[in-house]
Amino acid sequence: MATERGRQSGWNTALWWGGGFALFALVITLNRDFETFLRYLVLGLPQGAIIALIAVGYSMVYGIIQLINFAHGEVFMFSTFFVLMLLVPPEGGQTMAPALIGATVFLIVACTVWVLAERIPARWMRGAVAVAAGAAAAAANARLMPATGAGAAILPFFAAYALAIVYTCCLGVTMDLLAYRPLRHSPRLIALITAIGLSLFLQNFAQLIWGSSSRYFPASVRPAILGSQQVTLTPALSLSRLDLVIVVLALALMAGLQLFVMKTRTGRAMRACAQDRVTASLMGVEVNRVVAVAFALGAGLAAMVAPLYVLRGTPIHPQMGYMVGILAFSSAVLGGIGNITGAMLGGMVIGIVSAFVPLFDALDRFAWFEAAVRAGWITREGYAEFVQGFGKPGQYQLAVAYAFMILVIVFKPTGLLGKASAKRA
Amino acid sequence: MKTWQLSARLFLPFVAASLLGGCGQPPAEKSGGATTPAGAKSPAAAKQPAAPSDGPIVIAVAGPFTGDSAELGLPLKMGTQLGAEKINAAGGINGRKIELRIEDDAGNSADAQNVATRVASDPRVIAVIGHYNSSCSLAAKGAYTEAKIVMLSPASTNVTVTKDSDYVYRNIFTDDFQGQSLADYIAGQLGLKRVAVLYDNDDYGTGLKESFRKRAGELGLEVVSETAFARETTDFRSQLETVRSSTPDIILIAGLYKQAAVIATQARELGINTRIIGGDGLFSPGYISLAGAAAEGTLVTCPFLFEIGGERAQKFAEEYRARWNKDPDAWAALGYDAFQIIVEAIKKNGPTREGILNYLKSVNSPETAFDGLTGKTYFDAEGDCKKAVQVAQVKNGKFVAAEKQLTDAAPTTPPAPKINASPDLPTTTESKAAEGK
Repeated sequence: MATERGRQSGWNTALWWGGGFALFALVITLNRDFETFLRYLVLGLPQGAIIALIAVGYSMVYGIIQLINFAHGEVFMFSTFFVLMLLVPPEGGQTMAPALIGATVFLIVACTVWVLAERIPARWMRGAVAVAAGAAAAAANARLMPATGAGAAILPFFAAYALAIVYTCCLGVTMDLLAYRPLRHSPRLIALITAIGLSLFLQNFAQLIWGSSSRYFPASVRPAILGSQQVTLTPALSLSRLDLVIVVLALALMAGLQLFVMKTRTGRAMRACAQDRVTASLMGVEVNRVVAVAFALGAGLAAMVAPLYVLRGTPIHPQMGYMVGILAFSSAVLGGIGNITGAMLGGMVIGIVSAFVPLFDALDRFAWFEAAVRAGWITREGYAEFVQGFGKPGQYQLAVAYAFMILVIVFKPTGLLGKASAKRA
Repeated sequence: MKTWQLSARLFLPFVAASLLGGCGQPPAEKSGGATTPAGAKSPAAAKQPAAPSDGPIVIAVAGPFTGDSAELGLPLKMGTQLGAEKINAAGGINGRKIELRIEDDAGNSADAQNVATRVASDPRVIAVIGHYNSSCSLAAKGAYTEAKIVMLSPASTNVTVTKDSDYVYRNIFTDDFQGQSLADYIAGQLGLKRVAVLYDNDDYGTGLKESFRKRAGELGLEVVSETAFARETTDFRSQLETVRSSTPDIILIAGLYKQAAVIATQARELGINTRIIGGDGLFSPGYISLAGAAAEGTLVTCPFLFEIGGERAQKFAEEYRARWNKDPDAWAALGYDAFQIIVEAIKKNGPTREGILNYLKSVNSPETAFDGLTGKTYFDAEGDCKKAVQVAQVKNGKFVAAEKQLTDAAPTTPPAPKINASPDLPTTTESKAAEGK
């Protein structure tokens, strides 16, 4: 009975939202044309897909330990720097960079191996293995990093990309081990403040290593499949190869994540911990290990899309994770924090909503606007004055996205797909 | 060009309040009753006899020489120092050497106010070159005005800097003059009609856009779309879709180089090959290095290009490199020019505060203009500089002088001579200021 009602309300929600979006499509189509609607929709998809995959990282960790990991945006930022450091030698002024990078690689690999090597009973032996692995990784990394000077060999782009994903997963695990695990039984506020502190620390640490200037990957390393050549879908509709790859990859990752969570042992353990951490541990689930997997997975998903995000035209710099992080966090809340599918949906919604906002900069060319002017309801001068006072809608792109989120939260405090839970409230 | 700096926006209300509270009295009736240290000291300074008639002539140079914007301010200092060393090596002015009093305001308006108070109360100082940031100039001008000392800024572009004071001058354009020049250039030199405007929703972007639109209306340009973005935006594709549907002849970006580079890249990617034009916010090597090939052909307005400055500018660049082992930027040249204007004033009217003011007042028409490195400089009644904005174009990854300049029609300016600029020269005219948020 209960499931029946739940399913029914799910269908109701879907109908409401689908209907609302169809109505919006109709309004745009009647005012401009259907192609315009599709063009803006296609512009919003890749951005939404990227935000969705980052949002999953917030939601997954929250689902298990009820911690909003504010440093997740910085993990995203670090992954782009990991790719960059494997492709571009440090800039002139950054004399400390090799040493700091070496120390970072040592630390994250050692910590990850420490977590993985839990079968080794003796602490000293476990520590020795971890230190040895970290040292080996740091040495290997030093050899992989490009040397300063022309003509030096560099890794192929996809190798750097893959290695950066591994490093980022390690960073996620390390973050949990060093910052959050010691606070597992402290009040939640303390962990939250730690997360904020960690976020600031990572921003400044990245700035210490790589400096504060904005950078891109060198154009020469960009693979053709991630190029900006347009793929024509219909005569009027096209998107770049890169955007197509992003959308396809994101859909594949989302499907893969669903399979992982629903079908594998670890996935089941994650769901068990999300339901009740204490009971799950009494049933033999290793909570710390599950949490580490959640951190690694979230970081890995962010690292999968981060270089693509940079190739889309956002420069790499130490503060780049902040805005993306806030946007992804909002998406997770919009979708119902703790719910992985919800986070994906929320990300797509935020991406698409914000893509449509600048369309209204040209409101005075809408068919209904013309009609209203002819009918004498509004005047062009009056509209111009209004715009003078309030500015163009385009500048409120993010504000509209956040307002949309707030609106949803007001009417459905648990988010789009979130379920009310006395424990989490 | 510093108006958009965060400090300006943060501190302007504070500065305005402190100006009203502390230094609000009109300079004419400044006999006593002042409540702040600045006010208390300046009558004493004014009663001092004129600057001593022997020993070195003291000129203050104020700007951010430490702190966040030090990189922006130091060329200004080094440019003026080079000028002073040259004068002193030649025996000084009428046998008296020039002494520069370097005052650091750290790009911070509170420090700038302290500097101003200190400088104004020293009767030996006869003029001030600076400050750099508009926020600092605004904070400092009250004290200078009370002490009747001229402040000549080579860098502050905010419109309000020279207002309400007879003693504040600048030898750089104002933000709204730049907006007008952009419209003039598009209508006159390029002969285009339909302009799409993308603007940053901050003081700099909206100010530039407004002054552009006003002038565009007068010239019969059609603003076919006007799209705003927030500083945090990273994906401009939707905005560009709106731009594209308005079929412009040219796209004006009223913003800073970081966002502009992303806009240019994404526009080219979307197949929008319309020419891009921008203000000095784009005048930075960072724009080219970030946008790469997408930056090619972009036009920007800027205060000074060494290429257009001719032989004198080349000679200055060489001397500057020899002295400081660094390439000069536009503000080194503007600082040097400001110094030369003060020197000219001393030669004409003697080393007194009043003499310098009278000289600057007399430089008020193209005929009386001071002919310096950066062109002919003269001032209007407000103290703003009337000097043609120069236009640079990105070519082969460098800023070079655009083929058509705004001054082309005017007979007073000599045509830009062909010179073999060393390849790295133009890119060093670095608009670092654009990096300040």
